[in-house]
Amino acid sequence: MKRFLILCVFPLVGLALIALGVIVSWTQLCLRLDGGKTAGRVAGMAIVRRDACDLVTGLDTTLALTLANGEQVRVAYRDYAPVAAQYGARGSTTPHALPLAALAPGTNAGGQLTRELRTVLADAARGDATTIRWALQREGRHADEPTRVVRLEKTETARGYFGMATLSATLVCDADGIRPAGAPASVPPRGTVTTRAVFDATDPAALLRNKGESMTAYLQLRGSVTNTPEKKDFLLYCEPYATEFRPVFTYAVSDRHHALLSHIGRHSGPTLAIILYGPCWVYYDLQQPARAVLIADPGPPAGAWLAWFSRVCEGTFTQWGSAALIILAGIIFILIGLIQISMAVWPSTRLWL
Amino acid sequence: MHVIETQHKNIPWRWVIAITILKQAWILALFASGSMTFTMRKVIASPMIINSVSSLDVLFNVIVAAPCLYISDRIWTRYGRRRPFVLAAWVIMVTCLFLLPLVQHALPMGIIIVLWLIFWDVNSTFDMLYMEIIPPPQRARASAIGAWMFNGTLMLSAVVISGRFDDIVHSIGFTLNGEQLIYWFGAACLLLCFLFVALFVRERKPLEPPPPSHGRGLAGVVGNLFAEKTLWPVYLLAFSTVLMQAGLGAIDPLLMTDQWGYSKQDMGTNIFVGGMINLVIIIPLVGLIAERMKLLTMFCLGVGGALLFQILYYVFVQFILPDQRPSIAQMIFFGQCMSAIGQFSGIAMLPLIFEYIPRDQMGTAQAGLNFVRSITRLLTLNGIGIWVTTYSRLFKPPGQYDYFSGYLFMILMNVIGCAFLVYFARQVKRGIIKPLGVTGFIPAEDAATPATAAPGAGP
Repeated sequence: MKRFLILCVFPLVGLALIALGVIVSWTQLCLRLDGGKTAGRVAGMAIVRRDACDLVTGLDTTLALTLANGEQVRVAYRDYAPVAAQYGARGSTTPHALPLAALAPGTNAGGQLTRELRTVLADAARGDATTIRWALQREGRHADEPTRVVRLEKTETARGYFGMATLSATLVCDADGIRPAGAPASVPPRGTVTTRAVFDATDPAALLRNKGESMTAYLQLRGSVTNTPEKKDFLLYCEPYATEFRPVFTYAVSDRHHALLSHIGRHSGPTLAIILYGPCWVYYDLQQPARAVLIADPGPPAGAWLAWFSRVCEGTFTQWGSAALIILAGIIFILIGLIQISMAVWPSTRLWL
Repeated sequence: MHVIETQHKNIPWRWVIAITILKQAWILALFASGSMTFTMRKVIASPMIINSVSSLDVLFNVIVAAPCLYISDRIWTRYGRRRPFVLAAWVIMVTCLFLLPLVQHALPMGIIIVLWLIFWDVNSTFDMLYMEIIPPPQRARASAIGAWMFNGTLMLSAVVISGRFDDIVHSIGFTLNGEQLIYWFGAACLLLCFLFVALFVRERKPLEPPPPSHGRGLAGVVGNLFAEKTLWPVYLLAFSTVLMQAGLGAIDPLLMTDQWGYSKQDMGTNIFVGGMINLVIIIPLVGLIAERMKLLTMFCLGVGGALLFQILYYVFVQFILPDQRPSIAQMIFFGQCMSAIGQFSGIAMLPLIFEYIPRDQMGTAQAGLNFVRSITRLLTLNGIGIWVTTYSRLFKPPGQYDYFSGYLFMILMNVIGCAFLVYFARQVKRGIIKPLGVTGFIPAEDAATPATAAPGAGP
């Protein structure tokens, strides 16, 4: 009896772990296997701290670039999509508008904007302060190029609900966009967090004196109050490690719009596989469409295929990795248990050879 | 019989498979502990401190692992001679892995990590237990099975586990973060090892008595290692090779994530793709080429090539890439070049070193080599931490670290190592250092024939 019990330990622990893995991902697994599939959008980001949380529903970004020849480029973005672009010659007081198609990186439709300039714009619009430093550093290598960027000013205005005590997983999605659920009195008014940073590489000697640091000015305002975050960076990158970033996704079923807080999040910044204001897949409960799960959409292979592969892995394992690891531990227990049971039931004769 | 025992002449292959799967679980726990750099990074900014804490592992190799291995050869308890070490170590290690993601302050975190490092060395007796279970005739195939499983484990760890550190999952009313997931997964793997060895492994008392103790403590052992002057050139050779193999240590992952802005998943992808290329192309190719080369040529090619590629990589990143940040493909390319060229010196190094060790001093030499390697590695790991911290203080804005500057230290160490190697080669050429492992060796067949016996030897 004792021997039987000992032999049962490993399969039983293994089965318990597999059951735990399935329980952990049960809701998501059911929705993924039996739910309806629809295209969704990552429409916001919840920033969850120990004592408060923010819900970012919109991002307005303005980039003002100064080139080495004195020309200026100014581009405005709403939710990372360009909405207006202007180009001003040196000394000119009347800048002229640029077609938005001219901003797309990797195309030849740039017109007045060089390929490098469009790459800088694309990087700076979405990127953090370090990405902008790299972009300026890249530009600095073309010392004789009159169209290289020497100064970049980024102003980011995040719209949403800031300083809430808690945030429920279900949000309200209507014509005004997304907002926290609850009685109007319990929801704070819509607010803004504005971050402005200037990166200046106009004077190489000054840059050298600052040990390569190109950020020359930084200011963050929460509403109208100056805020000093942990890192001098834009809203999604200025938080300490413990802060959690949880995507908010929206989708429509039978003309009814839904907004939910994703069950997966990330420390240290938004996950790379679930891109803010990018597309995603949503699997929803056919009976209760308000129950849904977000699945990352890495898109077709494009650009550097290793980066794409990495995004696919990140999307897949961010979603299923925790359950997969618990189940894997269970499988190892069961494998070893089965080998031991086989040894007890069919002993090998090799020992007596 | 379902209990696995040591010291059998033949064992069922199912035992081999079970114990090899067990070893993979043990390796998975080791890989989980690889995230400790990121755990420390949450509360400790200085790469000097991070590398110093990690380098304690090398110190404990000398002051913990060596005595445990030594004692485990010389004791016998009712639970065996290796099992008490292994089981006690695993209980503490499981506790460490369980508690580590729950602490948020530097001091308790440091204590847990140091405890983990100490008991990781206590658990080094597991290798001996593994080898005592698998009899010599079956070790070659067991090793092949182990290598195959190890590669699978490495790939799995790279793609699935390493990228999970920052993840958070909210499910059925609780929140599980990636750090907890990784360490608790590692703890579950070690718990499996503990249960298996406690319930299903039995040590049989060896028939021969344990070897006598030297009786003079650690100082006596160290004194003995360095008393024999014929071994000094070998230690010099080992010292120079460790200098040439100095890596970034624990700050290597920080270079990729903190400095170059890649995610931990990107880091895993890098290891996965690099590992696949290594497995399918590089190792077979190097094996083919190595068959056609002399030992010394291979070693020189490996040493010179590694130095050349380190310099090329540094120049490429620092002076050619406009933002001083390589892509994943570029990292894999240079990583594979360095790995391929490093295989040559890796293959040639051990046989070359043993050419200079007299046959009757191989045991002493091996112990001395381990000692010299550990001390040199301890110095280089701490050296690189101090170098990166000082370099960053001089050339970077406050709060920023240039981990890549560690490559300069690596190149410097490589150059010093090469200089020692050149000195060694010249002494060999002048006949001052003799290949005593080759010239002093008389095969048993020749020794039995008087005509070929050493000149002047009596009957």
